[in-house]
Amino acid sequence: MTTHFSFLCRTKTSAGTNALEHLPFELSGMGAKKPMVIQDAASRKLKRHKCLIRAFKDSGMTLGIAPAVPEPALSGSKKKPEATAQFIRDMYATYREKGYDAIIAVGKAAAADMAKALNIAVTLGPDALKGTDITAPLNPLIYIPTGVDTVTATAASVTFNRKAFTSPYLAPDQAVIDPAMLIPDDRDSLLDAALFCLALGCEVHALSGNPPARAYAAALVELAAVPLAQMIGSYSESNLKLRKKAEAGWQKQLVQAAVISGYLTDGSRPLLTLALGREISGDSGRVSLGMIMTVLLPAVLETLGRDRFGSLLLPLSGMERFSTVPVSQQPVTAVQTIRGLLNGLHAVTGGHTPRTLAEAGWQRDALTALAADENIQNITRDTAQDVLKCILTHACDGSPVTAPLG
Amino acid sequence: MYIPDYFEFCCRVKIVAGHDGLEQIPSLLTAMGSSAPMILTDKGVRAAGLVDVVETALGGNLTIPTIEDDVPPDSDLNVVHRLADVYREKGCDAIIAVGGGSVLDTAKGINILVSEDSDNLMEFTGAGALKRPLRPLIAVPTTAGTGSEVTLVAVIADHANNRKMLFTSYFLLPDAAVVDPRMTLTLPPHITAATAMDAMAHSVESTVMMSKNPLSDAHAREAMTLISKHLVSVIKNPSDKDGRLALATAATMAGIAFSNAMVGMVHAIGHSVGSVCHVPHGTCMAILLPYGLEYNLHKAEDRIADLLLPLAGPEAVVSTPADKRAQAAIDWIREFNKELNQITSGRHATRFKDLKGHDGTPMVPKDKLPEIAATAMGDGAIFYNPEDMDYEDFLMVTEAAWEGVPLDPTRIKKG
Ligand SMILES: [Fe+2]
Repeated sequence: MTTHFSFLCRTKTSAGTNALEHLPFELSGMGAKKPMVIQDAASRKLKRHKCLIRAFKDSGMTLGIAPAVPEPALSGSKKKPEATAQFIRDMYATYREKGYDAIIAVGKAAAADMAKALNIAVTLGPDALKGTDITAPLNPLIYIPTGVDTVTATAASVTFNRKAFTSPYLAPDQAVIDPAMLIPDDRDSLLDAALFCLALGCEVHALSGNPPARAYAAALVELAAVPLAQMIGSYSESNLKLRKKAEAGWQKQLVQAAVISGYLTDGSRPLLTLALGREISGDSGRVSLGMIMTVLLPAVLETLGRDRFGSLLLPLSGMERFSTVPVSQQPVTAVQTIRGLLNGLHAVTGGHTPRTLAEAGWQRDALTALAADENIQNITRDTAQDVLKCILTHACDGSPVTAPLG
Repeated sequence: MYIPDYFEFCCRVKIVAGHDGLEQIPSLLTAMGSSAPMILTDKGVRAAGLVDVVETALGGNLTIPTIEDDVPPDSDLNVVHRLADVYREKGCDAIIAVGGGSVLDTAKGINILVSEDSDNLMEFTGAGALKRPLRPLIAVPTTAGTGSEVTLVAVIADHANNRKMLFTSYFLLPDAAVVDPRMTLTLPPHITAATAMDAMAHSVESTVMMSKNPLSDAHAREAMTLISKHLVSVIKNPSDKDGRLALATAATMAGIAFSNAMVGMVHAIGHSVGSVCHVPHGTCMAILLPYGLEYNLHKAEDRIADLLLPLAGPEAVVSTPADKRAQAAIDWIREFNKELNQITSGRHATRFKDLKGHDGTPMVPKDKLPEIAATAMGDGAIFYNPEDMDYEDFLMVTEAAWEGVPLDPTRIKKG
């Protein structure tokens, strides 16, 4: 561990069967009596709020059901900013007028981010959305995911009208993961989320000297690795019924992982797979974020990790395998396991997923230029240029890093 | 990985750890809008010079309206009320609690009164009586063991009515726990060992309980790894600052693990030995921990086997067959206790029989064991223990821990 660190996750996690039923008690513990429910279009369409109303039946609390949030998501979205702003204005007025005192966000990150922005407005006044430091708890905010997402709904940050807000008080007070609220995700979304969580968890666990962050990351890798391996193993399953059943199981576990991933992305630590992954997948648009992050992962670990990542082998492949690998071989085997997942996926998709950045359509020269890009230097928190170059060029052709720089 | 059908996990406390941890306090307070903290401590901590260290670290950046050290070892309702008045009179707007469980409990009590503008703490007893965030509270733990800086409970003794009042709420959690090795640097070796073994017991027990979950497990494993890696070297070299930081961090993380996943029979019996015979809590934990695992072995073999990695490291796992790992983990803890016994010149006891009071008399006379067993039966910590326990079982375990011999597996009733 390092000689100093800090860690804060203000979000309580509750997950599993009938998790919703605990929510009235939790909210009343926060002093809330009249929560407003904000949901995304998919949740609204499938009337997921009905489950909520049922859970609150005997609670003595009244729920207000808001119209669906405008799509697409707030974070990073360039489209429809006026719809978003209008929605916040409307909901702010309703919240005040009807005397709501808490927000329950139901859906994916679009709903969560909208709820965070609204919570700033209703707690601190609408002008606060023009920019302010958030130094004290906001009104109670609950997040109920309906599926996986690689935009981290539980992160302690939100972007509204191109203004970025970061504060531990922005994170939901509680994330409630109840299987009854889930809406089936397609296989590609599940795969993307699993890869995203795997890469993020591996990077933090292996490279961070921050023990609480390492702990959350270890759980993240464990939660993602098993469904990921199973998804690859049964990719060609043609029995639709069997496939749907398996997917529901994976989704349950991956939603937990996705929620935890947000706890590690509060901006307090540089995350190279995420920062570079966003830049690269955003540019190509063809390959998902989680995929690109996992393609980058072996090079990130090998460049910076030296021998620090042997402990990854356990969450990646389980105790049975871990205990058969000599300790000196564990770091190499951990990276081989990650490459094995990429190779396996490449094989079962008939070559549709990349194993390298080159296969994702990137040229070595473009990546070298990217490493020197001023913007990249900013978002990777001044990671040395030769480190970035080493990572990107090795991820380009998939060659192992033999002389680590970290 | 074990994922229960339903679980909850929460740690809302900001952990600020480091050799410069104390120096971060002014900016933590500023970020919360506070500038006039009361320092709350007890006479022992103050006499050890730790408050001076805190004051120096705060520098001139902060006005300290008052330093209060009138906190009794088991907290006191009247003291809480009196100190709340002091807080108001001196115009304080935050509390820095420097000390152990009692100081922190007192700070939580004061914080309820001043935040709710109340003169009667009784209004807020029980679970869920608090409905909104309290004023800023920063915990600076001075022992690396209890983990009370991350628990959401406060116990305040009402001596006049001879009862203890329990308060439970997430709002009682400190805003930040400042983990700074300067606070534990002067702990003598046997106390360092005992408090670290308390943290070890928190993390080990939490992973064996029925109420564990992936997040509590991950915190517990980090804590165990840090303790097993650093405890011996810190005892051999008490000024090992990095090692002290690791142990203090581990204690906080173990506190997070057990406050989310609970503890079991080791704590049930330990509390009882503490109240009947006044044995320090950490000493009880070290002695009882292997027995707690042995007793639950048939119910939790896989969970106990998984402890071998964080305790003994990857080599031990690779060289031990799967079906021998649980026993190896138990043996490792026994050996660890023996090593701690040796390097503390025998002051770290490995069985109750050897404990001596200041006057040289046995602390745990053999004829007290039935009373210990009977008292343990009423302890709430047994609720989450994998295997049930009746009076006979408690007595059997206590007797074995007194003699320092392993449990006789044939005498464990497998329910
Ligand atoms: Fe304890």
